[in-house]
Amino acid sequence: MHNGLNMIVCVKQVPDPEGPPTSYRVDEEARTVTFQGIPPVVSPFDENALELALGLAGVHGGTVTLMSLGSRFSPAVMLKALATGADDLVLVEMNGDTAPDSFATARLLAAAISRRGGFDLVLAGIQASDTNAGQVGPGIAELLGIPVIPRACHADVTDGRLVVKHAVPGGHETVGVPLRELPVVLTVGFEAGELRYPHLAAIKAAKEKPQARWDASDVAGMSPPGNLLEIVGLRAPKRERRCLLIEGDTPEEQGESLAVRLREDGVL
Amino acid sequence: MVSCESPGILVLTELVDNGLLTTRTRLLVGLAQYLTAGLHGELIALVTGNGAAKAAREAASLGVDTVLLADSPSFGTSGTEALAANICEVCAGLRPRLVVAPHTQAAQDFMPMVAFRLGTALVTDCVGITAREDSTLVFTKPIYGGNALAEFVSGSPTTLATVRIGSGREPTECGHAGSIVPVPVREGRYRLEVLESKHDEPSGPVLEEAGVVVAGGRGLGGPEGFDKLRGLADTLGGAVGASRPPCDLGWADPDTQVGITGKIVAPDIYIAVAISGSSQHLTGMSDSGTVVALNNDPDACIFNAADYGVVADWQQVLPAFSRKVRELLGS
Repeated sequence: MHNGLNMIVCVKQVPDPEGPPTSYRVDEEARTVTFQGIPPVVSPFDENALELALGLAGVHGGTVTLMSLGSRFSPAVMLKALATGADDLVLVEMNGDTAPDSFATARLLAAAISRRGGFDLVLAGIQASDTNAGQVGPGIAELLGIPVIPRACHADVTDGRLVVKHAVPGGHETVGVPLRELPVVLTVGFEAGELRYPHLAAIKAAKEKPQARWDASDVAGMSPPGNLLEIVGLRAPKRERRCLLIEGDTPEEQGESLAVRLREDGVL
Repeated sequence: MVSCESPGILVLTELVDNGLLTTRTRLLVGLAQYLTAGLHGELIALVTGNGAAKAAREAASLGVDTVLLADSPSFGTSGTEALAANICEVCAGLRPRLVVAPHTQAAQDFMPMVAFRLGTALVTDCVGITAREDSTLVFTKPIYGGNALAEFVSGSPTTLATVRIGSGREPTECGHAGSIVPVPVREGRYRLEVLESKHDEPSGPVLEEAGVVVAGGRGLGGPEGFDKLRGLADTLGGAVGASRPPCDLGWADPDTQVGITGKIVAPDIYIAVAISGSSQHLTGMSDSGTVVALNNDPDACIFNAADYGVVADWQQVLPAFSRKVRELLGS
């Protein structure tokens, strides 16, 4: 019999990726992207990771700790995540304007996770919606010297084992890890399901949950990790094409005309 | 441990079931060949697989200087650990400037493991790699779901990158075959017990390699819509794709999702049916040859990314279009 799993879910605050392309302004000179009219949110795959953790805790007990590395945290975003059922929150705050790359982020999070200690599972989204890099989850696993199970869809505890179904190229695989061999890292995508929505009362109550603020430079200790990658250019993508609209008296006629036109133009 | 006098670029290869290189691997060899010219180093390929000798001969014929062949049954379906261990071993011996792999789901799993074990930089999902005059490599990748393109330079002696299919180029004839060197295979210690393995039966061409992709969006209204797309895809010898909403809603297999968080495709013809065109979807298909969009909303973003468009209800357009295509192609 076990007393549930102690889980750490890494969540990143990002500008809402569902915002329209017009809300993103690319400043080529400053090499930054600025946002207009879109609120900060938790990166969607991190939300899926949180949902998977809450599901496990709901069935088997255990604790869920939210951990976030960043700067200028939005209290509303973090409280809402806490209110979905997490137990506590650790904010690892960065100073300075240079955003950490995947390498530095994984090093800082791995150090913060080690400092926190006492965990059975670390969960993170397969990639953040801003950097689209997909390295931090497996990076934390490598730095902590523990296995990673990528793209977890479902997890359960049976017969003294953590059983995880995850997506592999061309299909799915189910793997088992004896509880005594934990911790492991799970990376999570949308297959794990949407994050439950917190009630208003839960959001109010979340303010009372334990919240810690750690300085990233304290966490890193004597050797703060630098970036391996330097951004030297930034531009807006050019994917505008001139669209030829196919007209017709009826939709059927438009469909036929499209086929004929594609044939005439040598596309088909 | 394999070593090399003037290491340049190491290409990690991907095999299809018939034991040959995938199209995206061949195009990646072409890109590496082009870059090697400016870097004055050797072009090396690592061919890993179970029964991979044929692919090694193919790589050698494409103008690769040295093909390292790691042939072992351990590169099976759970081969991520074995792959990562062997790639690390080869990289430690060769110390190449650049290690490239096609941007696949498998590579997204093993490349970060390799990067963090070696302590080197990795740029995933590159849409371009160029060499400056001073031979500095510049890596271009989409960020913010494709709303921006960032250029990076790396401070690591070795840099890893996964590269999109649309960024490759055909290898040029070089007239001589490279040498094939078998390398010892390190058995990866797979630290997890596999309880069950389920592989989908492939139907039609692989999405990322198909010449034609017919993709559907939320506007299809349900899973039945995808059956109609399948009919057109079969006529054109293509594959069926989807934007994210139908995958989230369970109408389409998540494996068919086209976008920055799904599959990256660059077919000759991309037909988008009832897809509005979010940035994260557009960036996954923007390298396509000709883009055709059917949507009843004239303001849908997809029309800005399309060459041909029909503003009408897809349910009425598609059957007529499919029928006419069959007639014109005589099938």
